[in-house]
Amino acid sequence: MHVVHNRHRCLADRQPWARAATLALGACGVIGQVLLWRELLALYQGNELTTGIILANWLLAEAAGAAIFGRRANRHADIVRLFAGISLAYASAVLCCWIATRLLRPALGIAIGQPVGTTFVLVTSLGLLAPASFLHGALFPIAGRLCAMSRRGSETESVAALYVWESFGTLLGALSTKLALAAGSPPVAFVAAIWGLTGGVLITGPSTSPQVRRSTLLPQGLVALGLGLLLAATAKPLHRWLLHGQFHPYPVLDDAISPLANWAVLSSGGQYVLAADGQPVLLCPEPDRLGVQTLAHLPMLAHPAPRRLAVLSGGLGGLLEEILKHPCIERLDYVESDPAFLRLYRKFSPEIARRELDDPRVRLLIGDGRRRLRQLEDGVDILWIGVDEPTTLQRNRYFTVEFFHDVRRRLAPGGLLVLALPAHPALATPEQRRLHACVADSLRRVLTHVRVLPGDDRILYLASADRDLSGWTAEEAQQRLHERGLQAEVPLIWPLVQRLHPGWTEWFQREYQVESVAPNHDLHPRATFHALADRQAVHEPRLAAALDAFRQHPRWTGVVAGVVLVSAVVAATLRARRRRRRAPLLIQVATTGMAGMMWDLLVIVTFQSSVGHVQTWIGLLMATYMLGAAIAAAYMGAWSARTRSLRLTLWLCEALLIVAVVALPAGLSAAAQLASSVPAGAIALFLVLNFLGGVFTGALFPCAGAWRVVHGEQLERAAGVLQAADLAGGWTAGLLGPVLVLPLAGVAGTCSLVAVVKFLSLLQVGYMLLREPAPG
Amino acid sequence: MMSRCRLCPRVCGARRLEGERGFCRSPGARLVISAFHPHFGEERPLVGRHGSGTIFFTHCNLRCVFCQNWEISHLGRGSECSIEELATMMIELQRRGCHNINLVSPTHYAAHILKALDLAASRGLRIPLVYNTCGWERIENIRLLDGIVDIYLPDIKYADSRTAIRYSAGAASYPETTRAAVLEMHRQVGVAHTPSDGIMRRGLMIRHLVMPNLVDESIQILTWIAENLPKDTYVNIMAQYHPCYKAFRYPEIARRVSADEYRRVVLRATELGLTNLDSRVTARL
Repeated sequence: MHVVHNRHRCLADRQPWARAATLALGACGVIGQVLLWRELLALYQGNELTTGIILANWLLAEAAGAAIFGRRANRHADIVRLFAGISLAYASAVLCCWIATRLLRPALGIAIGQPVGTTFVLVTSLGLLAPASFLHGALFPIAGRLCAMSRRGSETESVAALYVWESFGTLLGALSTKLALAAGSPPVAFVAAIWGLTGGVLITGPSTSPQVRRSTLLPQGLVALGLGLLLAATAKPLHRWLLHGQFHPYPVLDDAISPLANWAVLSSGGQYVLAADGQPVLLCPEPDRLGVQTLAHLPMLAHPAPRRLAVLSGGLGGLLEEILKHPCIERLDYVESDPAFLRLYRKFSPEIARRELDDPRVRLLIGDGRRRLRQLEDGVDILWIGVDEPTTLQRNRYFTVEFFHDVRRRLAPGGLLVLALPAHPALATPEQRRLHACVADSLRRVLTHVRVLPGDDRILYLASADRDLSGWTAEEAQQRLHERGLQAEVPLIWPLVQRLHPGWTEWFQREYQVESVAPNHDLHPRATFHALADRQAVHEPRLAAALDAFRQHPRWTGVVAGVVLVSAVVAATLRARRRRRRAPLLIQVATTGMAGMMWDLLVIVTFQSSVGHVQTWIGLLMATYMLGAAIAAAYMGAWSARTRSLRLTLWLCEALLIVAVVALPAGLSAAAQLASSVPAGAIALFLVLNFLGGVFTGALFPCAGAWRVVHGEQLERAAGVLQAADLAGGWTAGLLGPVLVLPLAGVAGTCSLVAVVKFLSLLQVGYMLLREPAPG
Repeated sequence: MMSRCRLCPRVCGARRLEGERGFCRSPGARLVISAFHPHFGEERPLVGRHGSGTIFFTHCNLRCVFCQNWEISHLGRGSECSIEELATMMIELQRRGCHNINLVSPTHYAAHILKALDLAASRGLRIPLVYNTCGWERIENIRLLDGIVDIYLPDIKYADSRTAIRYSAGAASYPETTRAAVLEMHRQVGVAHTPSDGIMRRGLMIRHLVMPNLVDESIQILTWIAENLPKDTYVNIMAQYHPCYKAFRYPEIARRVSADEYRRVVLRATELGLTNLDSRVTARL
């Protein structure tokens, strides 16, 4: 160690640079993570399962990088050059991963819009992410060594400094991505930022030669900075070039970047394909005539005199046009979430857009549908939900009991709610049946009368609190059509009439009859689980079977998980006792990593359920979490250096986290309730909750590092191993949390599970620490 | 016929009795069905009051890139069942009041179906049998169905073998093989006329899906029908094409059929004197 210190005397007075390098490390990490997460979600047509897999793979490879380089960093002769080399390799890896993500589908011959299986997602996302995330993980212990060599304080304080500055970097990076997304910056700008930051750090780096005063890393730094500037300058053309590669052989006529999606318009034989995040979402200007006619006219004919209507998204592409054919309409409120989509739609489908959006009866509202619903006046006769399936938590918000209550408050007496769920009569999987049963049950709890209108592609639900549509027939529909003088406008052709065939009702009752299924709630998103399981039933039947086993036996699953966990804890404790190692601390850090990730997920999920469009806030949510972690780490780092009761501190960290986790559901529930009346207040409360999550989880890391360092472990090794443990815990939560634990256990159940795990960790840590000699 | 599979015009020769998968990907001699139930989405004369008793077979010999049922036809999602169970399904559908037994994509399971029919008939199956096929059938096999099938419901997808090669896994013989099969079907069951009670019991019902940029082929198909079959042959000209599955790999079919394209095809059908067009076709005019 002494020799290595002599080699790096150059670092002795360069504490600001070491801090800046660690700050850049955090910022580059989160920028790369957000960039690749968005790109991979687009590549796979992602949902929460995909997010979990992406996050888990990132953390897995990062943990491997931290653990491996944690053992090797101190043996390297030139730590500054090692840091520079790996930083450049990380920036290169992000660039290559991003390009590979864009070109993977065309390279493998996977068509635009063609679904891919979960195994494909698992394997390819690991392959795509591993280089970048491994290198980023490797940089963490190396930065730890830089921090240690650049300061005169103790190594204990270095661990805290490393964690603090990395967290601040992550905070700044997260804020930057939030601003960049809001400003519509192309993804290339994210890569450019990573190169620019890397270049800046290297240019200002130390000199390892006494003869020169400038940075030894100047040439590499200049190249990196130059590349960053070049990428920034050519961001738009490069973005376009990659879009053309991604959508080859389709000409890309236009594109737009919004916080909600990356849009592209493809030309296809005189028609246009509007693609969001690489997936076709609308073909225009030729409407899906039969689809929109069915969705528009059946509900309109089910109501004797619909005057005030509302459509929450999904109305463009013909639906509004068909609805507006009915002369009795006085006003139609249409809510669309993404202005970028509206702009492109108006440009490429001007005729229908004019008829739909410029009609004087139409009032266009921009924003989240659920929040806009609360702002509508009461007395809506028919309300359409244009979201087609609760495959994500964002979509699930339109299929919950709480949402249906909001709808009921807006409906006029005799008013109807219209929603559609995909169905395939030839392939009604048990998972699909449960999804329908779950949504239907949630509907019936609020709107008593539900008429189901099955068809070949989707099942329509018409629900009302006080209008019984069970006896409504095709003849009555025909009669209303005549009364409104629409015979010529709307030929009531067989595919439309056949939805009212009485046989369909019997068919639905027989085919979609399942055992009792619990309803869908904002904070217990069961429908998302069923929707995800249904997709797996088609693409990955084995995974669907596993999910079904978890669903059927949640208690046994919990018991088995508990037994495995307790066994692991006991085994680690015994092993540590024999070999006098600090495994229990690793378990404490890993379970804290798990708790932190779960906390973050719960806040994000509840935010998504109550406020919506979390992707526009995710940067800020992550930032507040990291801010909390950084502040706690800074304070606890300083405390660890001077306290004589480190053992008690570790205990207290654990105990406080348990209390906080137990209290979290109350906080989330309060925030969710506040969202309906004071959305800004709810957002603020969510940010505060995530900040607290950062505080309670971030406090542990410097204490654990300090404990290991004062017990004789090298700093970079301690930092690497603890980082790996932290990430491994986060990986577990990222993979299982959004897909399995949260949908099956709900927010309260998830918090209980986390509290139990942390309690076990508390016991084993306490047991071990009592036997460990206190640091001198 | 399955020892070296000759059930469809691909004549892939797979040893299905030994468990080998055919070109259609059906799993050897095993029978896989995705669903069976009364269906109310078929042509009106097949649905009637109590529905068409549909049995959906998995996998397909044609393997089109734009398949709308790709989860069943390509991925083969469904449940394995025995011939005995298939026969029971038929009886159950009859018991529920269905007007017919509608076998969807039956070609590569024809042997299983014949065995099951034997069983079902001995248990009292009496309702008409609908053979709902992609149209690409070996004429030898269709001849074997003479006297068994009551209603043939074939697609005619392409008039040009190059199109069939491109979109249906190299099925070069599709146009001529399908034409020959359709003529044989007509010979067996004749024209499908809807009786006064609205329930079809016998006849040939042709489906044709209009595809983007293939209007000329649609017209060729209708011309062939008008010239080779009676003018009152039942024809359903379908407009519901949308790019699905791998269709976006083929830019020329990666869009909807325009109203103008569909109208041209239907108008040509009426000009050709085809008088028995499905009710939804005439409604769309």
